[in-house]
Amino acid sequence: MLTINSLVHSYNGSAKIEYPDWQVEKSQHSVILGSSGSGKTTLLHLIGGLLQPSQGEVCLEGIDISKMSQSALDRFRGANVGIVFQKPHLVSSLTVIENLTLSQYLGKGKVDKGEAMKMMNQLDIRELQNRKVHQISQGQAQRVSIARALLNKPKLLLADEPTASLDDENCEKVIRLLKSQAELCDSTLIVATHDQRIKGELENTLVL
Amino acid sequence: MNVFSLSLKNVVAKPLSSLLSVLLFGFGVSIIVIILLTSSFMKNEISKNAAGIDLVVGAKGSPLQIILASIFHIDFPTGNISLADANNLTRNRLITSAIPLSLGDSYRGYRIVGTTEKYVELYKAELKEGELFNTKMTAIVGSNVASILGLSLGDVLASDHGLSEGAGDHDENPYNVVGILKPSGSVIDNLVVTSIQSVWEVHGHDEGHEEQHLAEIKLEKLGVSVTEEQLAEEDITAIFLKYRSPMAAVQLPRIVNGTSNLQAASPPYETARLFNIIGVGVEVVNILGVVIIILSAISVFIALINSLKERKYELAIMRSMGARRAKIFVMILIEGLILTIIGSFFGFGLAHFGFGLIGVSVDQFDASALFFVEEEYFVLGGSMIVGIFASLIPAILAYRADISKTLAKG
Repeated sequence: MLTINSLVHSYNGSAKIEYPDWQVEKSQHSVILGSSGSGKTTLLHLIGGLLQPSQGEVCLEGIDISKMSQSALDRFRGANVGIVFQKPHLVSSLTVIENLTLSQYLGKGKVDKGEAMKMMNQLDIRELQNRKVHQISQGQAQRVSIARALLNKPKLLLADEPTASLDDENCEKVIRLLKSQAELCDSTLIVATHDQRIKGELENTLVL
Repeated sequence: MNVFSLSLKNVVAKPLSSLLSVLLFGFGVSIIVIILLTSSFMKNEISKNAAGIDLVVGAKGSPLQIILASIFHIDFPTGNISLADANNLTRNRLITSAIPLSLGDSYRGYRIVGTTEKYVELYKAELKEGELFNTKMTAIVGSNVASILGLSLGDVLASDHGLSEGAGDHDENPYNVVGILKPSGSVIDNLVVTSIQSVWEVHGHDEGHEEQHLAEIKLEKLGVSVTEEQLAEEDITAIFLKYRSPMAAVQLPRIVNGTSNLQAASPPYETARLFNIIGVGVEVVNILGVVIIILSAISVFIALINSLKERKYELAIMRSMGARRAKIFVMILIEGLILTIIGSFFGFGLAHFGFGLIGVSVDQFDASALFFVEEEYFVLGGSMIVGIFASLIPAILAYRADISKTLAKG
């Protein structure tokens, strides 16, 4: 479902990074492994349409997103891609439930509170719904950010270094959680990380 | 959920910084508005009080002083002119009508004006009760005088000599209140009005002429009847003239000023001169207001830039969730506008409240908090524009932010 072809990216003419061709099938959860500076976050951004490549193409279900205009990309992301970042970065002026409905509003244009509540149940954070963002713990915030990324049932769930600052036990928990939630939402998970611990958890690996 | 509610939540999430922006903006706007209200109100008052008066003639001296003393009753008269001179002048063809004024006495701080019925007509003042002064030693009082001093029909007023309280009195010749005026919104509300003969009577030269019923001469244009002796001896303070034709505006002042004792003063010219004098002060305060508004615009700008710095990940993540750049741009713009709109409405409220307060505390300043002038729209529009400019740069920065770079860093 995801195909990367002769992809090249360079930041304003500086060092070019060439990426190997790669394919990901539907529900084939994958990991992009690489040390820092190897360009794995950049690749993740290229796949998620946050960045446009200098050359080559990124096809998601046959659609080449590398040639899309800015606003078409914004719309595309809203509908097809959910991203979990290393830090949760929730919108601090909103409550937990509002952070979720914000994702619906921005991604799909309409708010469905029932759906958001279902997602919160699924991630076991229902009782946090009316808390302000600064009133919840880091771990809870990460769950909220996962719920936020999956709420619009994206085809792709991208995660950038989700385990970087976690101990072994929590690392495994988070990866399991991402996998199980991606499956529940019928999404394909792609994790970009330098964390070797994850290697065994996901079937398809791209090493940069 | 929509862009506006997002902006509003962002504003509310930073109560102190938002409050500072709102307060600064509000104070800037209120200074400008209150200056605007006061000066429009004063111009309004002046034109209302000077309406129908083409020229004022008084004793030689400062023309501005003549205007202030005889129209607005705030300065002291320049002196007296003789009734004979006044009468000679009014016989001029260029003059349609004339109202004589005799000033100099007061009752508990309110000025007594000796004049004719035409003075009351000039201000379109109507009687609330009683009748106009007709016989000697009768007077009517303005609405403010009546309500503040609690006067009613039949009361007796012993006038004070001079324009300030307790400067010596005329106890032996008190006035009877025969009429009380309705509020007219002009100076007459703060005056005691009587006939010119009554004022002469008070200052009477106790020579016992009363019994000698001499033949009276009617001075047509001045609208008074006097004895030959009065015409020769009595003085008045000023006369209001009405021109027959625009030509008079050119010729009359020259004729008047050519007469040794008389001084002509044109109300529009002198009030324009007065405004030029006060204008400098008004200008300075206005500049102060503009400076405060600019400062507050900078504070709105800094508040937005700071919050952008704190929120750059949030904004990037909103973009990653599908928010278009235009949406982020509008959201930041609205945040700035919310601050400036609330700020300027606060400013308008404060200005009108303050203006109303002046009206309550200064009784010669009959101002109401609900006095509005058209120029306020310009202030409102101007402050919106300042608000848009203050939020434009932050909004553009948010619009152009490279989300991938931002997200890669954190």
